[in-house]
Amino acid sequence: MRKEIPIAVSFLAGASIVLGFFLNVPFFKVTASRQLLNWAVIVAAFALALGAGNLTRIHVTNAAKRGKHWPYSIILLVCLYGYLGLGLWRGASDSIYQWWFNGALVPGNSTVFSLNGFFIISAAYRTWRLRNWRAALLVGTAILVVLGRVGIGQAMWPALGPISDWIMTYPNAAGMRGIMIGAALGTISLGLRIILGIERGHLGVES
Amino acid sequence: MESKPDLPYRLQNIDTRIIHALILILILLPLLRPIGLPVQISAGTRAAYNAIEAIPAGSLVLWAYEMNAANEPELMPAAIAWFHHLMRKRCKIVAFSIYSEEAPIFAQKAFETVGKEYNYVYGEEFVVMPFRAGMETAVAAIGRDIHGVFPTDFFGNRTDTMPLMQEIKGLSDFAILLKTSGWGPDVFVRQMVTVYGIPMVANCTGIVAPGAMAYLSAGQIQGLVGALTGAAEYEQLLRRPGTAAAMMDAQSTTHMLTVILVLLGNVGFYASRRGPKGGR
Repeated sequence: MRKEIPIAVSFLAGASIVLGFFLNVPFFKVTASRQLLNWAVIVAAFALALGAGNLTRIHVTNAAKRGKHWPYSIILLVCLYGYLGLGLWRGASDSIYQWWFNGALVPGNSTVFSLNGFFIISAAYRTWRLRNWRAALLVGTAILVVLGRVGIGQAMWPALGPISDWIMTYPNAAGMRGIMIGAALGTISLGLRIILGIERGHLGVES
Repeated sequence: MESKPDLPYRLQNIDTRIIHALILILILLPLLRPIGLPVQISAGTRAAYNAIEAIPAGSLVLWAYEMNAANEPELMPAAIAWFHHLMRKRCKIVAFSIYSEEAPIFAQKAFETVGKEYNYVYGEEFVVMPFRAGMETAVAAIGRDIHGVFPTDFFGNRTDTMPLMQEIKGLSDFAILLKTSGWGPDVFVRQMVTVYGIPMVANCTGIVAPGAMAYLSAGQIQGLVGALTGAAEYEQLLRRPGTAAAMMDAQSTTHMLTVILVLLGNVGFYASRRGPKGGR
């Protein structure tokens, strides 16, 4: 019963949503699928609380045992619950809450993200070597797009802009579409396997 | 005694600290002394502009405002440009977020910045919804029942009493769906565009723009504003230069640096292969 009930629930929930798309039956089209989707939003909210709880457990243990980088665990817990408390107490539109958000989170997060630029340029310099014709094709295309997307490249050679656009619209889009269709077919197949109870990995059982 | 590395070796192995210092200088200089290089308008940005321009004045607009603190510098300029474009037409905007918890704060911030200029009234012409967990399922749920998913707005006000929300019966009431995020439009294409036939325009970070091009060329989205370049192009189309135009010079110089470094590395690579030692 520990396996059969979750499989039955998966089947009923999954089948209702799928039937809601294909059948013009009010029960499936409106009632069942709408209700189930609203429930899913509520269940997902619990997952956030579960994540916060798990993070707390890991870092409280680490701090208590003076584990690796334990002072960071304390900083994390203070920030997590301090900011949560501030939000609950003063509300998200409060000026102090907003000040912390705009003054700490935004510049900190943006800084980490902007480091990508430094690493990408450094990595391009070290790896874009014309070792064979395939590498030459890749590097040549990359340079055309890199220059064609900015003013300096377009000022040097006005045709670079349209060339970059063409590369993005045709060869790039064609390749991406192939990857996406492949991924979509895989998703449909996995979805069907879960609905039909063939795939049981999410229940902690071998399929 | 160890011999000094030869030129081809040094060309291939420039110290990372020097590269990072050059990047920093080439970002800062154009920001301090802008060059003002014009950018050509790409097909995706022009299509996005035309799609928004085509909606009737006063239309309802649904905006998946999935901005976060990391991608805010890259996405905010285009979002500001969109706000200007929509507010010029007095469109009524409903902003929501499914993937980014902090997005409502950014939406409200942008609204407060631009809305004042157009005397926009919150609740009548703009409303920002709170974050909802659930990812793709939540997007599907909004499609089926937007009022059920958002009984209150970001500030806790009841949405059923808001004049703007009273105009909305379902997703088909919206003239267009906008999406601002650091990932592709796939989820919204699957759950909103395909199901309800609502036209969509996307704004995404540079790293995901190539993937999003597939949806544009297939006609599943009507326009694509890719990263800061797209934002600068959009500002040009609006004839309202903003922060993106200023930042594009810095992008120009760093892109040029990338190309020069790649060329230097390859010169060193070939010189080392043809040299007397046969390379290192």
